Amino acid sequence: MVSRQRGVRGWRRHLANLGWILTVAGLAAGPARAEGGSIVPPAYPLTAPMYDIGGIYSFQDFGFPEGPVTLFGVRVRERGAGLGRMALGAVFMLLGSASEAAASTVGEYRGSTYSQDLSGNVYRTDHYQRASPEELARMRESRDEGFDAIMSAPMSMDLQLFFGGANGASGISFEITPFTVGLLAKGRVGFEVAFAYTLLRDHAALGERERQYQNLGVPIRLMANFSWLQLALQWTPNIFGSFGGNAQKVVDDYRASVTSDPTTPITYRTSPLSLAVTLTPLKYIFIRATGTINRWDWSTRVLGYSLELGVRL
Amino acid sequence: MRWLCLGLLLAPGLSLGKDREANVTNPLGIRDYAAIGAVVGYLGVKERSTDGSAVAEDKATVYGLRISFGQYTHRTVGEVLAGVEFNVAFGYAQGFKLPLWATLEGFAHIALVNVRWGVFAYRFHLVPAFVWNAYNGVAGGLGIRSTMSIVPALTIDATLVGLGSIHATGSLRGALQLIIEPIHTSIGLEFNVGQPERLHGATAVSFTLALRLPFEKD
Repeated sequence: MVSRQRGVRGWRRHLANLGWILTVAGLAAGPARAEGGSIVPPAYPLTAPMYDIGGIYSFQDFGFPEGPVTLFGVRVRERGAGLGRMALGAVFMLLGSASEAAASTVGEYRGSTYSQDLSGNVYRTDHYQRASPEELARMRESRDEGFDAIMSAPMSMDLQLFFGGANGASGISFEITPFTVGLLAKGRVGFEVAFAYTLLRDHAALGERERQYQNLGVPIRLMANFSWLQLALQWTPNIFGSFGGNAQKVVDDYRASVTSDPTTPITYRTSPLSLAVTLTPLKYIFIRATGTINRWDWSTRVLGYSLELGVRL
Repeated sequence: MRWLCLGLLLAPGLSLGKDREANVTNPLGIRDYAAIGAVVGYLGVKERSTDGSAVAEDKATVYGLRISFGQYTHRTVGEVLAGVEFNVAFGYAQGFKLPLWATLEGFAHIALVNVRWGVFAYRFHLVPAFVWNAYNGVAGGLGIRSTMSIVPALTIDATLVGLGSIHATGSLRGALQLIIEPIHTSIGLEFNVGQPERLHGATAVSFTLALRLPFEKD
């Protein structure tokens, strides 16, 4: 009886909390109503600056005997804003500066000549030519032009952090998108190409032995933005897994990792295909569901899904 | 829960309602800024072998130069002010075999609260972060920044960011800074605490004295 009363009280509290949340959500949508005459947001172009910040739960089965992986974490997406530009711009400037330094000190390799002394010893002489001041100036100019192009392009970044814990995997997924093209509907429908790195790891199914999901990929994404619905179909060819073009190699790599030194992890290197459906019923709130086919195999054991809830700013 | 809801309610409301008037404030101080400063600190790096059998530990005293830049750059789809901040630090690491260290940090700023009452200004930012450093590699994360100012004299600025590295390790980065505008100077204390039981765990504490170079937007 006591526990039933507690249960009822608990449900009342939850209902009260839900009421508060709905009140806040409604009021938070107020500015949208005032600006656009509707509580739902307008359809934004793919390059519109925005930030999605939220929690993520994910279940992924890769079709291997160790079983599925569950993940809890946070996801931060920056779209069309400054951090992605600055990060890529900094890397570009570092690489450009390093190549300029090499050109002005070591120089460009121009070939080798060989000679032999009277004792029969063979000597090799490498020839390098340092860049002229004019060449260095041209190099600097093109580097600056490249930097300006990066800083004015609509870049995006995506970060997912997974915390591990009881039976969960820890890990990171980091993506930078330098290339977004809005083709139709005033830039609301188009595609983009990104660079991504994902590392997930856990011990849950294996005791002491670690397993890892590794993906260095070039995600290709078709996207369509509607006012309260956004769709994204994405394929992530995995460089570690032969760009997804050779399913047998993924299996062979997995088998090789299983039979290798037990101190090294078991590795999965698949190239997933996913469809993400994002709902924005109110201006500052999003709900996203993503279904994934992790590996080309006619089995339900290669499927996964993710659920996200967060704020869009 | 109610207080949390009220906070969530107030945050975008304050930002949308007041930041147009308080546009004089920036991610770190009174104006957009660039700063150059000196860094002195401690850096400890622990690395455990992959089979977990051995731990190698390196410690160093670091000295270096730090260059920073911060600016509000745009408004988001929610009309919230947003910007970027960028830090580069590099220098000499006394005690390391290769006596060099470097960090590169990029922070986005989403100004949930940006208000001003007379001489008092308060800012609360969500801070997505991208970090590279020579001891932990590439990491990214999310944090918060809270800044209180007495315009135009003093600013106290606190940042806390949780980071995850590409080695799937976690760390916590914090910074506390006092900005004295009339003499264009900031004094800062930063720390980074990694996971010593994992690969690439690192602990760093540094003290920064910087000259701030205010500039006006075109």
